[in-house]
Amino acid sequence: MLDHESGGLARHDHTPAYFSTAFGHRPRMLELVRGFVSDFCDRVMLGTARARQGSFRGSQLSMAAHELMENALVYGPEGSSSFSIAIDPDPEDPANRYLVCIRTRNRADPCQQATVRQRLHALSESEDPTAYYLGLMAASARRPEGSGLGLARVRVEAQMDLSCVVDGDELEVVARARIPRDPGGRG
Amino acid sequence: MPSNDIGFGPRRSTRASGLVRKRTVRSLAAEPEAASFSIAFGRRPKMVAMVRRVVADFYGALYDEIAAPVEQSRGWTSQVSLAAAELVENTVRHGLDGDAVFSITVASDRDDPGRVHVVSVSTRNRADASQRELVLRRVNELRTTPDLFAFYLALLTESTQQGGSSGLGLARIRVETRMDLHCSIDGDELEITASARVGPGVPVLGPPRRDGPERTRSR
Amino acid sequence: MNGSTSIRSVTAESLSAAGAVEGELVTVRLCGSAELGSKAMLDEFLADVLVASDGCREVVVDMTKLEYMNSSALKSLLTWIVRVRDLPELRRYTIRILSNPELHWQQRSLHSLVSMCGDVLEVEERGEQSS
Repeated sequence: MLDHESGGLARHDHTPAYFSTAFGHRPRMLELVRGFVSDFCDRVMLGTARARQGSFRGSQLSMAAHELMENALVYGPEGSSSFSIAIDPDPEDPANRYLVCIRTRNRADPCQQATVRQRLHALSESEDPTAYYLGLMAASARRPEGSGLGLARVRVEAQMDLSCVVDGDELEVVARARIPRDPGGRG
Repeated sequence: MPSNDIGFGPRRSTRASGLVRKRTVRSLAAEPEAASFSIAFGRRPKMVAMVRRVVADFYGALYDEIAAPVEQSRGWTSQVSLAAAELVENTVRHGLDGDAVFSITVASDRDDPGRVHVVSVSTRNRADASQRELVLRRVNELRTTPDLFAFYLALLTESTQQGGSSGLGLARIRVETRMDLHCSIDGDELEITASARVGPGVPVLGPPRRDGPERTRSR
Repeated sequence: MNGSTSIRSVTAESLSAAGAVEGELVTVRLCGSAELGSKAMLDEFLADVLVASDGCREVVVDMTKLEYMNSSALKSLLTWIVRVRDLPELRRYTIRILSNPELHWQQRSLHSLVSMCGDVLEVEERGEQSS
């Protein structure tokens, strides 16, 4: 019997969650969504006791969310960008892992689309993504704009797989990761 | 990969996203000035507080774009987040399987797009027939009662005398936020929306007034 | 005569409640947020307050740090207030709620309670109280 009032409900381990937002060219939203993703991950998904300080996983996901959203905001022409995060039980191991999928979508000209595709390709082909990332950091010191550092950071620091889809004049970037249900895990 | 033919949006693979999928998802091209977010979640009580806070932050940040006095901003932000919290809590309590979708949308008002916007918060969840009937009836009562405040006070009185839920949440939304309430049913899915026009020319409504002295004082 | 029963401090979910009996005055403080999962605790706490307040002349409820209260918690609060109102006249006391004008929901929600129970209830606006 579910006790709704006390909130003492059986934990729905297999219930997914999904968050999406669209907000136009509003940089203030970046921080809001980053905080929400971190909180959601920690308080709702992982039930981390010290949610105020944030967990390692929550921090990774919120950082990835922020980087991808910021790219959509900065590089997309003025207009709507949208973001979503989906959290499902991992079909390969639903009892022990979540599959997290972060997507951003924005308008992008063919040049931007090609640049993102090329950068993602370079990341996926790199034998040592961390070394590649460090190289990008060094390069960005000389050319701060448009270095691809954000995508590399998502790949290396958040350990998420990246892909993109072009749909007419819109570009969708997708980051995926499998994370363990144990908040202390780093798998 | 999810389909893109309805614009950026939901997955197909889960029941929660099945709920999302049935909603009309706005494509990027349709309303470039609109802002929105939606959350689909299972029966997670912690979502209530999270939604309330993120709605307050989200809407508060948007409201700053409108040249309104700060106090107006805080008033409306408080009202909208209260409505969000009550709606989400209802889905956690009364939803059939716990899966629900919450969304907030802010868009320019068609009649006065430069100054007024429309804010809507809604939830969608599966509900049993009796719950759907109860909600329909309550929303209708709230829309048609000649004395809304008296109706609300009667509900409050009734709530202290009975053990179960009395639909107080919806009444609280209507009375305390003055947002319009609508509900629709699609099969076994219930969607409830609270919406309001907000802007510099639209007053923030204080608490409903009654004749007679108020025992309230300020320092 | 005042209630000599102590009021047990309690915490549930994001709500904490504490109270103290000081002669003929009882002070209660509600902090945090009264949301889903806090009703049962609040009901028990207010039942304790009712017992401890026997013989007092006033109960002051500090809500200046109560960020939010859902409709269920509002119902709990109202139920307690109604019980006080229904006490025999000689045992009845006044309830004074300290509200925070920065928390807009309080202005609206407490107004409804005063409309119902204005004979025993008053609301006093204050800024956030120091602990």
